[in-house]
Amino acid sequence: MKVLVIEDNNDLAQNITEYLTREGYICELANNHSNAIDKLSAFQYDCIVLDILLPDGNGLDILSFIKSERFKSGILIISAKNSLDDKINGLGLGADDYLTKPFHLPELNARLKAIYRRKYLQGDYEVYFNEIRINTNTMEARVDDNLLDLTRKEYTLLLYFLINQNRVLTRQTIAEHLWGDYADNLLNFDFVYQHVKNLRKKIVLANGTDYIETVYGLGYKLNTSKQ
Amino acid sequence: MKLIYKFSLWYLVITFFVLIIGGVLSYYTIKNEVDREQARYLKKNIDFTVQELTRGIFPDSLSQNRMEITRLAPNTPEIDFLVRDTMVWRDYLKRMEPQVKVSASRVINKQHYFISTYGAIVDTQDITDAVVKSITGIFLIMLVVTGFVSVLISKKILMPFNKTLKAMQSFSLRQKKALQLPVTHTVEFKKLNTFLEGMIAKAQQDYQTLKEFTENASHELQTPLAIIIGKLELLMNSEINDHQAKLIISAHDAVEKLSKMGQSLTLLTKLDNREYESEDIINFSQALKESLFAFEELIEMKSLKLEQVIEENILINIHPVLNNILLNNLLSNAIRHNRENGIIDVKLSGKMLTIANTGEPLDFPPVEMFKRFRKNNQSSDSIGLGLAIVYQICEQNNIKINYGYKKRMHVLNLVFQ
Repeated sequence: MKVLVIEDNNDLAQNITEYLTREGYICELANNHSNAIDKLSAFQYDCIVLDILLPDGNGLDILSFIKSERFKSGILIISAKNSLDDKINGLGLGADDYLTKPFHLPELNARLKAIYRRKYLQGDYEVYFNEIRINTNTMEARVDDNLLDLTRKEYTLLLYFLINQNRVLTRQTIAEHLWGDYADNLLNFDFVYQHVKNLRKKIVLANGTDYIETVYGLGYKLNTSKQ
Repeated sequence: MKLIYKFSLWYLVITFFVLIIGGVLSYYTIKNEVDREQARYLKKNIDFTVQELTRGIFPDSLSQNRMEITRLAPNTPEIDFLVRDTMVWRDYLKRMEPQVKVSASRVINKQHYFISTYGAIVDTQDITDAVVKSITGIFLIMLVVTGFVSVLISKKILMPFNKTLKAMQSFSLRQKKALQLPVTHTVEFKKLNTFLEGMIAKAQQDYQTLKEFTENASHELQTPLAIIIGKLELLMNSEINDHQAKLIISAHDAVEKLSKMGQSLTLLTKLDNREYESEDIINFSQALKESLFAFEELIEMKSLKLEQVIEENILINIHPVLNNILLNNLLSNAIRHNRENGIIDVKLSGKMLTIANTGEPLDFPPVEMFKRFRKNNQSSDSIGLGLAIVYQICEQNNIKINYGYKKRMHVLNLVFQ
């Protein structure tokens, strides 16, 4: 997947490109308005990560430009402004999703993949690793041919692990992915532990390998090298 | 009391006293004048009597009802006119009446006569009556005229002032356009309007600056925080030992907390600036049920028992976003400060929402419940802004909120106005 990151802050842009490059994306960076327009005019991108506030112009203008040129790229807005108006404006102008700063890199990754699935694969897509397969269209998960009886949260959690393979996911990151705003007020993440425990149990019961492991002190990780 | 009524009342009170003094003055002036006239008339009578005596008429035939003639010793000195007041019995009035008495003594034909006469053209009582009547009349006329005139004048003179008042009442700092006050030619009102216009322009400017600052501060803070979180997440995925992992995760959690705190403070500032004003009427019962549904899982995980009685179709006027924050904060609070296997009791009926939950009593006075950064366990992970936000939202939407600890339960009561 080819991604253009439009972000004026170099450190933040570096974080994003480093994480996404490790995931196997081809990342390009534009750190201002004109640079972004140049790159958009010359190349095609599957997805665009767009910061709204740029030093030489508004990110929403770039959004309008993309739409007027009929580029097919998926667009994810990242903004420090957690304001409803911006969100509505952005999505109204044709962005696919909106992420408020500060965000978690695994979350950004999951959102980009979701946009990609929706836009290019009409949602009918299998995310898989070895014997574990998830059909994002029917929302079914299987270990080999055994259908897993997962709750909605467990399904979301499994998908999150599969998308961020070999990545440490902290309890905080998982909680925010599963509960969104509702996680804000609950700073005790015991319930994340519960969900992960149940998910692992169900995979093992379906004769799958227990790839998910606890990373001491940090959180959890889907370890692909586990046998 | 209206300004003009105050003016009129003072005016009338002062007029009342002035009229009383005026009445006393006119009484004495009139009485003086009448008495002088009376004395002149009586002197003329005496002069006439003296003429008659000179012509040799007997004094006895000249003495009548009001004229007394007596003889004095011939060597006593003559008395020129002597005017005095005297009291006289009046039959028809059945009482003593003050009258004027004039006396004189003259030597006529070697006889010394003492002549004295008295009388009154106008009764003192009549003067008093007349004065009281006219003063009362004047006062009544003043009353009516002042009443009418004050209303008319107040309308005319105070019109620019009232317009200014109205403009101020309907003015809101959030409105973008400058305050427009009516043109007036009264110096005081002109000064007032100029002052108000200047002050409000300044306030609007400050308000705008503050708003921009809040937004910018939030933006500028969140970007470095996003960088730190990103760097820590990248570091997490590199080769690290357990000790380093612990350090990274505490730093990560602290940054998360910092970011949440910033967002909460920004929200509080936005509430302070009344940026969430709304005409929306929402179905509160529905919203409450949705929130409870969203928390269902978290409630189950803590093995809490949820008891709910929710009346259907309770409508209230509140911004939907604020309502969402309000309910989330209240419910998450009831979950977080609960004990294992505890109870959450949610009741909505009429205009009252009650949320009660089991939990340890507060370790600070209940009045500080809604203060910023007040936490039951100061070392706990919460940032201590949840209830401050709840309080602020309630205050701005005319919702009365109070807290009590009854039967080992924390009870929060919200009454919609």
